[in-house]
Amino acid sequence: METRINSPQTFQRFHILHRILHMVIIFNFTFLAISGFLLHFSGFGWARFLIALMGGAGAAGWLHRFCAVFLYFGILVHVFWLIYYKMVLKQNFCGPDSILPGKKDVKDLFQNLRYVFNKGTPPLFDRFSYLQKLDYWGELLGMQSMGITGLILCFPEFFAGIIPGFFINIAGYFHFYEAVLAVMYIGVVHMSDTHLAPDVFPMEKAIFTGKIEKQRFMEDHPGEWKRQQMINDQKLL
Amino acid sequence: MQTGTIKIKIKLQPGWICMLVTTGCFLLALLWFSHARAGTDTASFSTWFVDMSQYADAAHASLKCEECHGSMTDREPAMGIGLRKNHPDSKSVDFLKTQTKRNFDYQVCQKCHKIAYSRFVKGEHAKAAFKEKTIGKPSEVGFAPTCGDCHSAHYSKSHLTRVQTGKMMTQTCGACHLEQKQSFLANYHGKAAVNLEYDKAAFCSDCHGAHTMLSLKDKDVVLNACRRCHSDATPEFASIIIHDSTKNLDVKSDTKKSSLKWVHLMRALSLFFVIAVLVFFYMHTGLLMLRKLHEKLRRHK
Amino acid sequence: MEKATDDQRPKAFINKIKISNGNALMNLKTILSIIVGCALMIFMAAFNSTQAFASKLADLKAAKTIEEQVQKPLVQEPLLCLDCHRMPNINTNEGVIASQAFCYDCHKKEDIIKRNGVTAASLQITMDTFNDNQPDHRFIACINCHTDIARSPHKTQTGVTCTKCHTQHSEGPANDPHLRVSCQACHFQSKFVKLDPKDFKVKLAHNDYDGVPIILSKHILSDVEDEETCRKCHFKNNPVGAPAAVLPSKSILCMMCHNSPLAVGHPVFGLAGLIFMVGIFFMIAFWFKGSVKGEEKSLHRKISLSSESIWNTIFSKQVFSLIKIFILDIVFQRRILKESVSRWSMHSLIFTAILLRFGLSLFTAIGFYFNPEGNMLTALIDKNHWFTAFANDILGLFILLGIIWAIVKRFVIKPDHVVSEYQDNITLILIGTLVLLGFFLEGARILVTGIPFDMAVYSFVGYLVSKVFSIFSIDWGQVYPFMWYAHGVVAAVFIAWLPFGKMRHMFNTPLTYFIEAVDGVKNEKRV
Repeated sequence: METRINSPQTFQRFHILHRILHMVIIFNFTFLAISGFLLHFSGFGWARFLIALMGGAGAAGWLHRFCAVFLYFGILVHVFWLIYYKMVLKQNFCGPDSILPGKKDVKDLFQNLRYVFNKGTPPLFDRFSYLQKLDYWGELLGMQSMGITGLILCFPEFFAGIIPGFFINIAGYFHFYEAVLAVMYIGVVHMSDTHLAPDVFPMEKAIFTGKIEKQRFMEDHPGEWKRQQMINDQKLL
Repeated sequence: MQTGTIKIKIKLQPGWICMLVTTGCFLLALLWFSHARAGTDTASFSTWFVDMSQYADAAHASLKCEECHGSMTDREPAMGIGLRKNHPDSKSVDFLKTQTKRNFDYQVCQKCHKIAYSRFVKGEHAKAAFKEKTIGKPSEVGFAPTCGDCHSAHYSKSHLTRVQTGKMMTQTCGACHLEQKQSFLANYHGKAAVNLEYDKAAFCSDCHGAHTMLSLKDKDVVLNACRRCHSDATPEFASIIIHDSTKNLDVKSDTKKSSLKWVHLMRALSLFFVIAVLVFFYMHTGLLMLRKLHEKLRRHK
Repeated sequence: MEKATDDQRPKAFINKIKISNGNALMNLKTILSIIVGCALMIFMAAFNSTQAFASKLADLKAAKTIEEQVQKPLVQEPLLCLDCHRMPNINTNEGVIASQAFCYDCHKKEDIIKRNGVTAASLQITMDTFNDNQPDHRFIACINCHTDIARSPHKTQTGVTCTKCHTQHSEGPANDPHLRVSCQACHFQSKFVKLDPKDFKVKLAHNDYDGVPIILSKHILSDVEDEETCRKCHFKNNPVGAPAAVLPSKSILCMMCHNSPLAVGHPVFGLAGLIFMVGIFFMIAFWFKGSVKGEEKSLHRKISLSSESIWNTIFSKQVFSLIKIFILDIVFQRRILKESVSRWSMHSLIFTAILLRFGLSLFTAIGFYFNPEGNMLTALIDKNHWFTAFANDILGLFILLGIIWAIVKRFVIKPDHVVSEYQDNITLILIGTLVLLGFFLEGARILVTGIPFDMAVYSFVGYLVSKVFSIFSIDWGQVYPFMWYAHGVVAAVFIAWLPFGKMRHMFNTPLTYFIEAVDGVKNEKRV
């Protein structure tokens, strides 16, 4: 998706649909994490208090499944949009704007590590940095595995007819450990990368407002900025 | 006095204060509930004394001592079901060395609790008691239990709710079957039933039977137990492992033993993966933040 | 009046203000300070009383009357079950007497003997003997302490619980290894102790070291002030893994890194503390040699000017900027991060780890003072508890890594901006030796006291050291006291030397930051 020019200072980075979907993710992820971990850590007093607030074990279970379905629905909307993007808007999935991982991302990672140890300059990102791509793919793929293991745990009678019984035990462990990974990653890595970065602290608003400031655009996504400028120059010519 | 003036950048707005106060109250409420709620107390051992005020609150309050223990002067079977002498012999070698529960003849319970007694006699615990008598020593788990090992005749209350009974049962059964109790509490059923007091989840007796104490090694018996709540269960459903621990493997069927190995292998792999990813990205983020902070501090004039 | 000259006018004006405002303010502030000071002293004194000891002055006449009544024979009637088997209420006098009578019924006899195969020990205890040896526990039922003995089999599983009524010791006498020593092992007179492998505690032995059963039933107390009592365990080749000598407890000086009691302790620490205070005194005296707010001559005026200034700054809005500087520049060391990430990392490894250790020990000392029964605080004192073990080891490791980094930088890499003077080397040697000795002591402790793997693994460095030590066939129990004294002396030297060498930047640098902030020195010109 290209960015359109709104005013001399800000540029449109995210379409309204993406912003809504991100809000859907935030809302559902939070409640999924809370209701899920409250069951797992139900041995503790504070967990029992919070479950009581939610309306008991049955209600918490219902909330967990509802949010899972809601979140998956969001992913389906995103997939439909992808189809729309390719078929109707006739855009390319690959290219510099792409969210697909590539060789440049691996190079950027190593360059970033060299920069950390004061042995080089920071990498120049295009539309999406490698961490942002990780966020996207982590969510998309993670949702598939969490969804499948969640479904197995939700309908064990049905799945026991298809897969061996102990797979359901394995699904239980995968579901829990992946939940831990997701929460620990989002809570620390994603939050640091977006909000705690010293230049944007206390909060990065682009995913919510859809607009990115010129300064941030030039510093965080210089590759895309250059291409944007070249297109503008061509238009002027 | 010369003192410089500094512009204070933090402004204490009412919004901030409200938020802080609310968070504080919420955290306090959490702490309040943090004491672990112990299950109903069952005496782990009986003493020589009976607490009469507790006895009066219990199910057997209307019974007199002699109705179960025989009178003080009885030297012979008085009730016709084989009661022994009331007091241990101070001259015998075993004096004060054996547990009272092992010496009391619990057949007297049959007088009122006929159904429970007849079920117990058909179950695994009665089989273990018989084995103990023939071999002459208790099994690895402990003494084979009789009525008094699980029920306190003096202090058991009547008309408890399903959840109360279930929670007490978890502690009682868990006193000898510790591994099973821990694995039960780590399983969905244990967490929902005991911790969250969810009525619909299964307690020990829902699968194993209340007095019959079924051994769930046989797959058909297991399927029957599962179908009590999961009426759609297929035969493979019975292969799902509830007591997921690597100790006490002899009570499991062979298929479950081998599946358990796979389960724990996959568990270890996924844990390793999670930790590796987190360690790598935490270091990456931490170091990157430091570097960026350093740049920002240098730019600040 | 003669018109004052331009030079004199400002001085006269200032003098006028000082005299007119200064005295009035001084008086109010002095009074306020005295009241606050007195209140604080009373407050601290109130918390200084020992807790939970039974009253020694019971009414002897009343005791005699009750005792005589028990000896009178009861009316003979046919016994009923509940005559003996009703649980007595030991919260009442009658209940205590009834409960004691039940026990003394058998135990007052001379032929009450515990047999251990061939050998035997007497279990006899009469009311008179017990009341003589334990006068404070005269009106306490046997089952109050021997909680689970009144049953068949007539054996205890839990042992005797003193902590039902008595709070446990504070850090000084408790001295963290003693957390695993039962109360009776020190407080009861018996020469023989054993280590119970089940719960890993030091208890009184029921047999002497030749296997002969000993009589413990007389309940005789020992004198815990006498060092002879300590030698019950602290001797060469003892069976409980105690160090071979009686070691002093830690001092308040140790609080920079360790949980310590609020006491000076051994004379070496006292001397170090004294030298430290002398050093601080000289340091502050040196500061007051300069001018304070224009005042050059009068020391009295300099002191009062600076105290006024400090007081006014603390009780003003500026205290918030001071707090901000404390958090950002002192705790997080922002100014070093501005210079270099690697320098920040190296310094923080040492500094932040020590700061965290200090914070933890301060919290424990104060918390324990106010609430000795708190579970969390007992866990913080217990070196074998997983949190304390892990925290101490990882923070100690950080300090060691920081020192090694500093040594490598200073002596191997030798960058241009680093100039090494002898004071730098002393600092590195002192702190490095301290941490190394600390880890050696920990390894020796784990090895000698035989802490099991699942507990020791949390102190991962100490555990590794103990494994290395176990290779050598040295009696680490004998080496331990020497290492302990070495560690203590090095720590004492370090503390004593603090105000004299470059380490005094600990005090100077924060002060400089605060003064710069208050005096409004611009960012570029700050030190």
